[in-house]
Amino acid sequence: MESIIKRIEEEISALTPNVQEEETGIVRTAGDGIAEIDGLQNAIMTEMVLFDPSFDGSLEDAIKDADPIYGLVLNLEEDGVRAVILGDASRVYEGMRVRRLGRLLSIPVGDALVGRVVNALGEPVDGKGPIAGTKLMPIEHEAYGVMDRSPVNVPLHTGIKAIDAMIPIGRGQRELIIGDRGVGKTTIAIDTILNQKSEPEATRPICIYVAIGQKESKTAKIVASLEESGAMAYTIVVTAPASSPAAFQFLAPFAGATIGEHFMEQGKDALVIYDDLSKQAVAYRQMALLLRRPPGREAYPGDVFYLHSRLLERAAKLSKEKGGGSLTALPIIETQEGDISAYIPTNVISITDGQIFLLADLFNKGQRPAIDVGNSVSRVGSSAQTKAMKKVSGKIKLELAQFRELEAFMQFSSDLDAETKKRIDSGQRMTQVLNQSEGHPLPFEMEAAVIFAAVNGYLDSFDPSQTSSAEQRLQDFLMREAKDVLAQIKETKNIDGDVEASLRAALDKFAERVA
Amino acid sequence: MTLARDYAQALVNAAHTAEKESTKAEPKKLVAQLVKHLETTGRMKLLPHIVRELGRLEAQEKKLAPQVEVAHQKDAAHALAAAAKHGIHANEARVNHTLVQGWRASSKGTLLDASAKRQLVELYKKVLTH
Repeated sequence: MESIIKRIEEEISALTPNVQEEETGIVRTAGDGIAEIDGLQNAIMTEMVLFDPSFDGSLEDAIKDADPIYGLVLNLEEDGVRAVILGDASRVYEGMRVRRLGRLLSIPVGDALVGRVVNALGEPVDGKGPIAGTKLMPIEHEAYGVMDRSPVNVPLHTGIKAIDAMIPIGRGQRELIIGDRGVGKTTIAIDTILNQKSEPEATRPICIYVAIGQKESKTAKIVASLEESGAMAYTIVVTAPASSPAAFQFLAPFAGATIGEHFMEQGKDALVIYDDLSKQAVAYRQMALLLRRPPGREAYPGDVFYLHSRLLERAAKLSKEKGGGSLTALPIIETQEGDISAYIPTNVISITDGQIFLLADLFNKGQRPAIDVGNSVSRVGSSAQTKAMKKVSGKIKLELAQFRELEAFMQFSSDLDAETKKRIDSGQRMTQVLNQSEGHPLPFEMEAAVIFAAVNGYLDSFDPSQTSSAEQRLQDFLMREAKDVLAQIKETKNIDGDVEASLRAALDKFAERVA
Repeated sequence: MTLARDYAQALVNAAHTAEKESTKAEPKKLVAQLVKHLETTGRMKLLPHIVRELGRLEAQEKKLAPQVEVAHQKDAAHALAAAAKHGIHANEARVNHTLVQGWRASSKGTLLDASAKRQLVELYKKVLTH
């Protein structure tokens, strides 16, 4: 206390009356998180402004109410500007003085953010104190151009067999996760984060989970599960809960992208999950309507496509000259009744490099993850797939699609010919093998070995309904008695020659034992 | 009412131009011309809205008009002179004790702040963050 008083005394004695000149405006109206401001004639788009509560009151009031209230200029008009209030809008009043800050909206980025939960402005909200050692980075800037990028050729393993085998994701890719509510979209995202633990530390991507318009209880649960599994050691959570102003929900994905770009520019890999962009679009629509921008289809503003395209275009795999870092984006979109042809879903589908489509029907049948193989695709991921996975997963997608068509005839199984029955059995078996419960991502080598066993008939001796338990037994067996084979697959990223022979020998041993 | 706002803004601009160029277009004449124009274009219903918009513009001008505030009356002459040096010409200075010491002046969005209050608040924030 004494030191503070001494410090204040020193500072006061050093005070010299100097004239500070700055550009200010005056709040004309404020409401619904939007302020109309007279003046600020030289303000620029997305510039930050400061609502100054200390201007009118006494010094005592000014010190009591010293928390800054920031705003973001989003409309430039003939006689003033309109800004969204980034904070407690109830403190903004008519006639309040607003100062230009002369800088675009920026957030703190840096390695110190890892393991922390922050809001859309990069301020910590996890009660672990301030974040030191950060630098400011503008939240909006242009994505890297063609010459700065290199093709996507390094896989990002999700640890989910169905995805890594059929819809592979590469580092720097943008893969949409789309489906109705409660079908496991967030689960895929979280499992992907959890799976990065099995990556070597040097190549492990920094994960950024952006929760937009989610219930705070849900985000708290996710953070707890990440902490419990040790995944927070390489994860940052950006949260703009449902209770936060629309402006925060609109900004949160950009904050996540900015944090990810910081790591990408250091030559590291980063993975950012936007959960979900439908809610961001709704928040943006709310802001746009309050800013009196003309509404378009479904009352969204005309630039809602640009909102998502400029965000997702920031995902990239940089060229060697630029450091070779990458930013992979997994945006999530919620559909209504499985309608992927609605406005926002079609927009984001057209922007991304593929989509993982989850079906409520499959979910209700017990399939986990409930991926609709026919409608899911990865446009660039196959070139990033490892040889091992490519070899084992070759025909799975086609076989499963054929199985879905034949599935309707299953009830007439007694009247079916042997070939059709075999195909149905094989499809059922493969579906069971690809089933995977929440929170149990598999390392890549285990996925490859299990799928190898399934496609090469090592699980055919089991009844299709028993395949799940057989697969679990196989995993236990491989972990116990074929660790060296798994290590070889991990190292060579291929299953051929000696590795294939060793794997086959191990699987023969397993088949003998279960027989 | 964008149209009403545009008419009001145009009227104010015309009045300012007339004042600057010392032409004989008096406000009364400008209003008469506007009313005639509204009659011929069938937009007389806009008139009350234009009046309201004019009120808003007037309030805005008033808010952004030059003003000088001082902590103590004795500083008034110095403050008025200092503000004038920076292009803010006010006729009188208003006493505002919350400034603690010094003065501040504002005009059309430019703020000059040489008050102790501002510096003390900044100092308080600086001490808290370090």
